[in-house]
Amino acid sequence: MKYIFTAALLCTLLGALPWRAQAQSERDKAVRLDKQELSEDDFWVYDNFARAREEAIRSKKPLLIVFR
Amino acid sequence: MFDKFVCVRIVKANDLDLNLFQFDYDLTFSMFFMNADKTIYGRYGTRSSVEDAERHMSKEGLSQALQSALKLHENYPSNRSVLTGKQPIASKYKEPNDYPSLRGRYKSTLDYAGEVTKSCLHCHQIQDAARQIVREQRKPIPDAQMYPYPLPQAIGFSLDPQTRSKIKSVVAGTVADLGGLKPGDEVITLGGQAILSIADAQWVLHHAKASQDLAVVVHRNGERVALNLKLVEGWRSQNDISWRVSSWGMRRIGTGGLLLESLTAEQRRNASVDPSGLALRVKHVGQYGAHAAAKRAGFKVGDIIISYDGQRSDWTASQLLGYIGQETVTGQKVAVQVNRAGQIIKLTLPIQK
Repeated sequence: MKYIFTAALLCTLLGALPWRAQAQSERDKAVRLDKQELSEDDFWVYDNFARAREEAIRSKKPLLIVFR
Repeated sequence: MFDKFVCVRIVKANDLDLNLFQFDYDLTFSMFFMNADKTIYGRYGTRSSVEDAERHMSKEGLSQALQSALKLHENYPSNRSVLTGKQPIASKYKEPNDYPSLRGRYKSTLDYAGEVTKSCLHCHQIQDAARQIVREQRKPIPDAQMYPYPLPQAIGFSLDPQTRSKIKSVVAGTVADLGGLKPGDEVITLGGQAILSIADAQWVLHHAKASQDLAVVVHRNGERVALNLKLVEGWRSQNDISWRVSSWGMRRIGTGGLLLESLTAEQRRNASVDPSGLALRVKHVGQYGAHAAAKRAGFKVGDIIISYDGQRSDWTASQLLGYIGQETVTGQKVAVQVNRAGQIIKLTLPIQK
């Protein structure tokens, strides 16, 4: 849960920033950090729908797909 | 509750499967609940302003939506009938790169070592690309593209974001009111589809026609009540699109980069403008490129637009954008009248690409 609302908040804050190099750099950093955090998290599948689907077939669980 | 799902984060739309993932592409946050066979149980995520992106979302509402998705999963596939309408419609474009204006601009992978955000196709660009095709054909943008994913407010009711689908308010005299909806009702199905969230209601409305009957089933005081909503022509334009990123393009096309706001009754009186006519105040004038066309045409902050292309209806900024998308063509010159400190001034705006 914390990742989802953190992500939503991050998007809102970043979306409100003007399009400047500084902001661009900050956004790039945030995306990389986000990837690193989620890649290290066993619970979340990062940006790989096919792998998540295979896991859902195997576990018989439904999928929760978050776009942001 | 997340542990009852296989959770996946999708961070890019570059190679998005448009035949599966159909949602409000102006969102910066959206969710799907889905079976592994790709049957969609529901959607979550709603926005209606730039400033308050989370107004229509809450942990409580999401929790209830998740519980409902799990119930649908338990009962699947015997409950297919309430899921049929939730499934995607076949798309001519299989992924964003298939749109002519996006073709070849983005790779399917992100450049994490470089400027990663610049390598990312933004979801709203899909909406922009779809509109561009229509504009280039010099046709009116269809209602569903112009006013996508209407909130239930467009037909007179709101859902409480703290709940799955409980009605928070109903405006007197609206479609919802005339159809018999009441605050406190819990919407079970709309248009025959199970409703897990505001986003689910928006999906139903997005695919509704300009004029049609829409069946709704609610729980009221422990009873199941079946009602009928009669959508009437024009309902969709009540949906505010001015906050949408995809409306920036329309703003460039038809207002030359003006940011407009409605006047209150008092502001109208003070400015001596028609109390029931067009009155949109220029809040901001774009300064660069195609967004400075209005500046070049002579518009100034504080001008009040009282006529646009001969139209004087009491439109919101959103409805003006709708007129631009549906009634103008590229290359046209539009006559605009503004009230500037009591003086009526005639200006001309180009309708741009």
